[in-house]
Amino acid sequence: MKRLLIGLFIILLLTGCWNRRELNEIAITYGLGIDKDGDDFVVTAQVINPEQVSGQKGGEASGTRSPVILHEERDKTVLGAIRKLSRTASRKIYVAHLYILVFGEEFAKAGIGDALDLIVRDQEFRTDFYVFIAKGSTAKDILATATPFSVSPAQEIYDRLHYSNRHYNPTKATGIRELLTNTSAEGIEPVVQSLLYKKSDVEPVQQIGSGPVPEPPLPTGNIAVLERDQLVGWLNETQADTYNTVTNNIKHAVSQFLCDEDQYGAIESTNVKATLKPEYQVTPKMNIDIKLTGKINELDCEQFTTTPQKIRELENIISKYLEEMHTSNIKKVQEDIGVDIFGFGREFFRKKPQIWKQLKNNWSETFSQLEVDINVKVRITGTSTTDDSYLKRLRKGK
Amino acid sequence: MSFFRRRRRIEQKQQPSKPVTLKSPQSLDEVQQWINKYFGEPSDMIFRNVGIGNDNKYKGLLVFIQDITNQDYISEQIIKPLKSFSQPADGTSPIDYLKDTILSTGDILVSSDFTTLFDDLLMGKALLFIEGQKQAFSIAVDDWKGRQVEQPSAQTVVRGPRESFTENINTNKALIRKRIRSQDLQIKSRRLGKYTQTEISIIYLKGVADDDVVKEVEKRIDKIQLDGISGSNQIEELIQDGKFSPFPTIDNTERPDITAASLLEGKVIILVNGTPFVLIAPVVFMHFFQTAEDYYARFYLASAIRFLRVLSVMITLLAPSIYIALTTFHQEMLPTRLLTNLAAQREGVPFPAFVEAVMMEVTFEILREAGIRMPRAVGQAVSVVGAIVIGQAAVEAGIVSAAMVIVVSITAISSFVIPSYSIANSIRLLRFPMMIFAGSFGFFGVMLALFALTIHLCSLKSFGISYMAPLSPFHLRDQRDTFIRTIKSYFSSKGETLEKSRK
Repeated sequence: MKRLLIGLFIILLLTGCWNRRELNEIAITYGLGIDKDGDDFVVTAQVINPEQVSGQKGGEASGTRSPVILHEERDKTVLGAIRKLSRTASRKIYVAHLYILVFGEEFAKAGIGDALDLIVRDQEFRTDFYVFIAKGSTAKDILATATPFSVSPAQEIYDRLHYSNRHYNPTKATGIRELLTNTSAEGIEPVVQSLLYKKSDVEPVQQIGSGPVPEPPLPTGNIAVLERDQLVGWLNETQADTYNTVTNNIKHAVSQFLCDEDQYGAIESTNVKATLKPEYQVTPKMNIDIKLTGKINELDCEQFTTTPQKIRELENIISKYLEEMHTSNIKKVQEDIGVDIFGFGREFFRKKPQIWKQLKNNWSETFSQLEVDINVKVRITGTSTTDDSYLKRLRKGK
Repeated sequence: MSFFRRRRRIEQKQQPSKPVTLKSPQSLDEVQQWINKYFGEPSDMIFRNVGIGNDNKYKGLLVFIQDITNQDYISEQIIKPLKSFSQPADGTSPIDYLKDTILSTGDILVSSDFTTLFDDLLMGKALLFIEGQKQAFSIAVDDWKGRQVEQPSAQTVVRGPRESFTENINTNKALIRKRIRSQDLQIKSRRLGKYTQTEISIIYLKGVADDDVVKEVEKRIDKIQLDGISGSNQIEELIQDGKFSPFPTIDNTERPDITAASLLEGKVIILVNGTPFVLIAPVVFMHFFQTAEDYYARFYLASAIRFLRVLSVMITLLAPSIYIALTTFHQEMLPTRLLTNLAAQREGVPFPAFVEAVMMEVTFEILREAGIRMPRAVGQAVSVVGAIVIGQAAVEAGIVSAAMVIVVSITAISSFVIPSYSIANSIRLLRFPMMIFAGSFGFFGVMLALFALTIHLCSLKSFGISYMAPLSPFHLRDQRDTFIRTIKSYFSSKGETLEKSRK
């Protein structure tokens, strides 16, 4: 009996996670925004009202109340501000299910590093949400905007980025883990997707079928380039494409190419693989081999015949086209921004550590002058469900 | 304390009754008086004076109990032949002559011991006293009223034999003999219960069953001292290991085919008169998740279904506790959208998830128990009320959340998948402590409880066999018939478990 009591007592001491809380005691936060105003952090939390978000029928007065609520507080630390939110939110802010974390542009320019320690340290944050920079606005503006598709704006933005990242080359989804790694790692700098705040001049649609079709109020903007934790520049669409290709962030890319004088075709790649090979003779040099396998999915050139020879020729044309595009894009990044977002330095560090020791002290200058040689190999495996362009049949028939 | 005192008193009462012997020779009237005095003039006792031989050379008295004997048999096989008696010429005593030549029944005994004779009378035998002789006959004419062999009701199969045991121990023995026709089939019987004199038979296959196990079973049964035995569960409780464990260490079955298979595996069977359920010992934990159907279905299917059963056990034991742990401690482990939906359902539910779960599980247990105990005609009302109360009204009234109803339902249905009723009950009961642990410590508590449970299971023994064998200790050969079932020629009936895991 004595032993049993001692055993039970020990069990009581082992309660490491004594944080019992019912589901209706927590404020599930989908979006968190951090800005800085003077010395104070301004934290905005987009908290959901589960009954309105879940889409279940039979909930009390379903659809009559707002699905999300925005809380804002300021304090000297982020956590301080988050805890202060309980003055307006009746429950504890629960961030484990965060979808997006937004930084205002001004804050990003000054450096987001101040706000990251909490996220690294706190056990409640799960590291699977995406990070954004609010281009031309504050984080609060983004989180305060309603979206048409999903009742929860944060969730919609997350989904949008998540799927776009798979299907559209220039989109880059940066998870918090990647951001934290790349801000502190040597030889690579992080990039973050941005959101544009567009003040809608259209009145919100009250009834289905009335008024014009609304545009998405928060379009995805360019990719922001950070040096360490400071915002230093922006990539345009094709630069983003190149970035994603070189960093192997593409699964099913669509590459457009010129198949006739002014007519284009598109191939959908099933496999894109870029291999970085650093080289050092007198000066450092980066060789990039890009292998692209795919099939023709759109062909707007009626003259083009899909014979094997023609397709081999086409492969060369596409290779050359992509080579030029990527080369010029990388050159632009080197010259205009001068920040190693591609991780060339990291590649030197990994494959030629001795040389990296010499290069690393002066890396940002070296990067700007780095000679980059891109070699694209395209392999076309098919022409999908038809051979020659449909245009051919269309024109011939008449 | 009063409990112990009471027990001592009962022990004092159990003194052997004084033996009575027949004084020689007696008159038949005296015998009749004797019997009436001994039994207290029972109304169903018949005394029939018979004249022996066509010249009524001897006078005889036939005594039997009317309701447990076969009247036709008595008149055809006893009274009629007695009339044809004539004194033998060669000088053999009339008793021997009657026994060897005249009375043509199979089971006949000559005795002068009144205790034996009176016992026999209660066993449905007819006693025949003869004027002037000091010995009497005890002739088997018993005809107990009982059920015929019917289809099993608790353990049904789709493809397989459709016989089940009855309340009559002799029928049950016959059903076993029918399946195992071997001289090695040993049947040892004894009577237990001071008043009920219930016949208990220990059956095993000599050479297959472990001698130590047989001896242990016999030893434990001989220790039993009871006033009366009404079912096999009383025997089970008194002879099992781990009396206070929630898990049964003795199995029971109503199917002769399972019994025969168990005998072939080297197990010992205990039959109790008056119960259609026989006891099987020793058994291991995994035994309870195997059914006769496994061996009558294709082995792929049988193996898949065994996995399904193990899964059901897990669901029965853990589903409510996992729900409690997830929704009150580990919300981060749920997919976000699921969490949102659950949170929406819990909005406005006044109780913590733990209270909610206990409430619903108890409600279910009440309905289940009501469904079993109710007369069959009313049973339907229970299910209607249950479906509406649990299913709809509770949710609509905002007392519980809809997800909780799903958890309770899946737990309930899973518990019915477990083939053995006794272990299903243990597991259903154990989910309540599990829920308490989940409600106070989350997954940490659930793991703690599971550890404790595993340790307990591993320390249990059933007549010297480790309860968790062949998993712990591990026997590779027996894995062919544990979670999966391979084709029969790949494993012998007698597993390594019974051979090796004795310590």
